[in-house]
Amino acid sequence: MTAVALRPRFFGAVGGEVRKVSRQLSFWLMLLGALVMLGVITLAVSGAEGLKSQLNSDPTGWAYNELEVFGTLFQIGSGIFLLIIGSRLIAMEYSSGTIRILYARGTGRLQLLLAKMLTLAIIGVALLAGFIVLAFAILAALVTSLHGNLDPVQSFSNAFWADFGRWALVQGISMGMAILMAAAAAGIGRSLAFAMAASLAFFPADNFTNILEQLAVRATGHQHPWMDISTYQLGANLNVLLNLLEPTHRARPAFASPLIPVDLTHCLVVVGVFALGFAVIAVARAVRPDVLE
Amino acid sequence: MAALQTRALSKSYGSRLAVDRLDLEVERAELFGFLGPNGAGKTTTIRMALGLIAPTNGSVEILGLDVRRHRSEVLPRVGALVESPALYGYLSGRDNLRVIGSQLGRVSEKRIDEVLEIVGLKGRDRDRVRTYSMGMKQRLGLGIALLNNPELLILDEPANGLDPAGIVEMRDLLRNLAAEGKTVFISSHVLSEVQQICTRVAIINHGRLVRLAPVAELLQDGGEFEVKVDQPDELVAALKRQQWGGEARSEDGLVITAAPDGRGRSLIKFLVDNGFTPDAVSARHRDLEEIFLTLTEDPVK
Repeated sequence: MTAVALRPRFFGAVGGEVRKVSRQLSFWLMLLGALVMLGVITLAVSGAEGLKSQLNSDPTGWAYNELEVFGTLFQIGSGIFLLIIGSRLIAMEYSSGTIRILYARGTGRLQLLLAKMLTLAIIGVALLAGFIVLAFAILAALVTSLHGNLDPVQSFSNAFWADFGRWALVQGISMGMAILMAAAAAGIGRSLAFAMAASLAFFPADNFTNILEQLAVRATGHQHPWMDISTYQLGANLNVLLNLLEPTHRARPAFASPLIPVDLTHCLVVVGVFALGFAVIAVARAVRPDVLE
Repeated sequence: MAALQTRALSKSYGSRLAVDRLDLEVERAELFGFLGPNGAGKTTTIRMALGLIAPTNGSVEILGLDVRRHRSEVLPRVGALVESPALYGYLSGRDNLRVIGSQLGRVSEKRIDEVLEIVGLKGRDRDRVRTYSMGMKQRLGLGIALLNNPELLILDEPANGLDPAGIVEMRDLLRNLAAEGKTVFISSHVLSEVQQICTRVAIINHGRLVRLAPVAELLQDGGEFEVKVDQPDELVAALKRQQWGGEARSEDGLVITAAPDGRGRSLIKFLVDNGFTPDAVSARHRDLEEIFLTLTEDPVK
């Protein structure tokens, strides 16, 4: 081996990041926890009253209901999962000082950040794909146990399958935002504790702000500016995005949504601005010249 | 072409000057010691050499290339251990090497085995690093530095946490690396280690270069002699009357003195001519610690 032949490689860095994640006990424990949760929800759903009659009378409506239950579970779980894994993958390099080993070997600051984000994106896609496979296996098992065969699945409308695709797209966007947020929080604090706390607190705080705005409207008797603020909150816009994407606006936001109706363009612009902001913070902090860790 | 060269290298944090116009030149295949008290600017210099922090002024060249402009070309040819070894505690020793190897490009399992063998971690390579002792972590840190078979090794306190046997092994390893043509740059507080293995040393204090010289020259610096005689007090009195003997003194029964024109034979002649037949006369060797303390003594104190 000659030293000259070696040079930091982007996909080599991605491989290293995948190895780091796959060796973290917390990664596997969270996946196990998600599986247990999925099992519990499945048991709860399968015991629900009127499930069989709804499946027989309105298979598509039944499918929408199941998508709402399992979809909400995924939305919450995947967000928390990626925020934790993302914070650990990026911020732990600063906390443990390993960032200096990597940079001292000539790995580019931006290259390393992008490798980490691509790793998280790969995990996110694998997570979504795995969830879809598992969710369909569960639904197939439910349909078979309720109906005796899979015939009702063939009755699911084309609109349902199109909306299912939109749901997957929204999950992809939400996961992307979680990754960017984790990267930004890790960059700001350059410590695991800060990154974890800041990124995990963001969405609960965002939803809580919605309640405060409603209280402010009641207390002041004025709708403005309180209700306007809600239209610029990331969580509220992400929550309403699927509803806006669907032609029938069937999906109901599980959590806080803007207090004034917004259109799809507004929603996408707000999400895009937040994405850009997180990305700029993450990059600006990563390329900072002095590494003192 | 020097292995490592700094030119008027400076780094300031606000009004505090951590490194002040430092000029160093480390030759290839040299074992070079970099000494200085805490806060002297050693680690700051090393971090600038590795592109971890940007100099306020000046430049660093490694293997003939400017580090800031050619970092992705030059740094893969350098192995470094900066301060305490930073490792992934949740990974095994072998996985730590694999992860860094992936970042570097393609490092084979064979090379990883070789490195584990070199640093003596072969039997513990599958254990998680968080279960390692300080000395084992230090060995793994050195293993990471060696992973890419570097041309230049920059080691910050490499003997930290090592037991005496480990220190001897480390010393032998560094000598072997230098014999293979690699350049080894060691920043250390263990002055006896530096004295034993380094060919040249640079001593810095308050960010400034105080002395850069071959170790042998530094140790003989001062040109003093030790004289064993029956009447040390009388000899000291006689020496002090000489123009060249003003610093003569008695230490542990020996008389420490300079010599006329700096030569031992002239001193012996003086002793005999003045009736002090010596039992022994030898050139005085100071150890590096003594020299270091003298050179880094704070004049304010």
